Amino acid sequence: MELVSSIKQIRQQITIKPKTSKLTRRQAWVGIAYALPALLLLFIFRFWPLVFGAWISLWKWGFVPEKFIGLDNFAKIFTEGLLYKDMLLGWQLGPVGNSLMVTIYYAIGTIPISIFLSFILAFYLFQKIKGKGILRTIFFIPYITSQVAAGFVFKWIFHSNVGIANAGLERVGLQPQNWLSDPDPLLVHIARMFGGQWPAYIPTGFAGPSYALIVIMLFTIWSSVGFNIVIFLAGMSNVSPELYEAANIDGAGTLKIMRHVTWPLLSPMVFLLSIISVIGSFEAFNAFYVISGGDGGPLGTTMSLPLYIFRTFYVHGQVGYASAVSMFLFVIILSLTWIQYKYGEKKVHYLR
Amino acid sequence: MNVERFNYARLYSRISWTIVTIIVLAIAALALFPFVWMILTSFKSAEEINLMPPVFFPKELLFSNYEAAWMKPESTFGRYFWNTIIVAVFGTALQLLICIPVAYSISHFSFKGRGLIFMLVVATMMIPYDITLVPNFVTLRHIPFAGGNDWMGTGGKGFYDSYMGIMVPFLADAFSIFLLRQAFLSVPKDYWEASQVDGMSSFRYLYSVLLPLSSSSLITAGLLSFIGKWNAVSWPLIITSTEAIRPLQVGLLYFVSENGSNYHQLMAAATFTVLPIVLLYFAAQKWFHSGIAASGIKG
Repeated sequence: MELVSSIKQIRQQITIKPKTSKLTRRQAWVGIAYALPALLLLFIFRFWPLVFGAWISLWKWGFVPEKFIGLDNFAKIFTEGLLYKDMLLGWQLGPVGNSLMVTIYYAIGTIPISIFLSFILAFYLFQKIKGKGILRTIFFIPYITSQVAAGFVFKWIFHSNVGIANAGLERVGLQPQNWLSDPDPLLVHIARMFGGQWPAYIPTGFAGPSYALIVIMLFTIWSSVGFNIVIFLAGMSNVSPELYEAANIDGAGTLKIMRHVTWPLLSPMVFLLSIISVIGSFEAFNAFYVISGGDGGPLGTTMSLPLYIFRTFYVHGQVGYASAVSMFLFVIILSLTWIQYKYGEKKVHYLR
Repeated sequence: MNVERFNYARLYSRISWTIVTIIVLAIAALALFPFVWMILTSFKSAEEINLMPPVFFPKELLFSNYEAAWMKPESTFGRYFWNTIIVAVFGTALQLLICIPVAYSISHFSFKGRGLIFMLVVATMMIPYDITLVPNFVTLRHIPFAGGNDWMGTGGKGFYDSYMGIMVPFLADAFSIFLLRQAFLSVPKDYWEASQVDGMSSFRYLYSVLLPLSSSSLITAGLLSFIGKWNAVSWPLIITSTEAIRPLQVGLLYFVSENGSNYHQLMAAATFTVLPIVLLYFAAQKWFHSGIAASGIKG
């Protein structure tokens, strides 16, 4: 009996083993073949651009490559792009520095408000209320709406002469504003309101966002809240109801539950959204292009880095320099994401 | 005593809840307002839009703005619509055609480097879009044998100003691959093993078992891709130059630069640009939310 079974085993090993390995080898090739088209496209249009872009950035490159200039484009970013010294005015922000400030204002002005607002709205929508579906739809539709069309609507709302925003301001007795054409930054306005003046030795690039940039921020908050709400709602439905019941029995009010139960439990969502939003802020182009009319005006106060890169490339035809600035942007985005992972991860409470 | 205190607490929470509700409704009204204002403006006359303070409702509904806006571009907006529909429909179909197999591969086949492939796919989400613009533009102009190019990729315009040029860089989309992989993984492994034992070909298993079972994720991926392609601006702006290829969103940008700020007509054009997507959203609402939620789970 034993002999028979062991012979059987050996036989099985002999007959099946080579068969399976042949099968798995064949399977492996089939699997690779299925992956190939996508891999090819990803390499050509996602990974290759990193290498190729770095290569282009080493050239003086108009519409055709002209001259290999090594790191000159990068030197230009640091000598005149970020900061430069003017004979009369002293240190001034260069175009890249200005765009960087615009992007930083934009990120600070949109991300916390958008995430916080969506959290509160999601918390509300998560309760048993009537008309939940309609409300969710209202908040979500801006996210899937064409940013070109919606950008023009915002431009129209904030029109200086006949816009409804100014009409509203006048109605409540406030001064109408040249929303989209007034280049003065917020802090300059505030200083003037109190009868002061912005100190001349600090470049006005540091004086906060212009009204036009604030309009773009409003636009972004408006269009991003719906996405964030859906993410938060998905997170909330993963929290077990018993936790809420326990908190309720302990006598915690809604606000306390929101702060001490829901918010910490949703910290993975907050973490995810803040990473997505920071990357998104440094890639923001559409709203800037549409609302500024494509030129980043007034006086470059809405020239985000991507818009600057686009103009350098598309309008001024400096392909090499545009590539160098996008490499610079890449490094910024990577380091910001890395910092967020390094310091943000610790504050996240995972439910395990 | 006890009862009274209970009532007090209830009253308090009811009042605060009412206040919260009012605030939420006010925010909802603000969120909706741009749409309302867009539609109302699109029906106003040129005199009405130049009034200050503005009138809220148009005196009569003028459909002539829609007609005027539609006719304004040389070849009418119909051309732009057609271009966008081609890019969105074919682009989405091609995108699925490319993303389904790779998702299948990394969810069902075991081979060396499978993990690496998945990692590469996810890593592309970290590569900023703006960085790829310039190199991709140069690459697409030099695709061999396309658009009058020779085998060296010179002499012609390559994929510049063509539908392929608009679509091709985005066909392999990390998010779609991710979404489909999740869906494929949730189909019980037993089916796959049974099909292997029966000697079913892997292609047959894909289209007769796997795809029908993951249809809802398939629809989600398709819808999100369609909307992304419908709304895309910056890339089509760079890669197109003629009216014959120019998609809707770029057409809308040109509408402004060519006709100035005739806001009543512009709002009409904006309305018919937005409308198809809004209708699509209402028709397929549930797939959207599950799709977006899936993007949250990945983190």
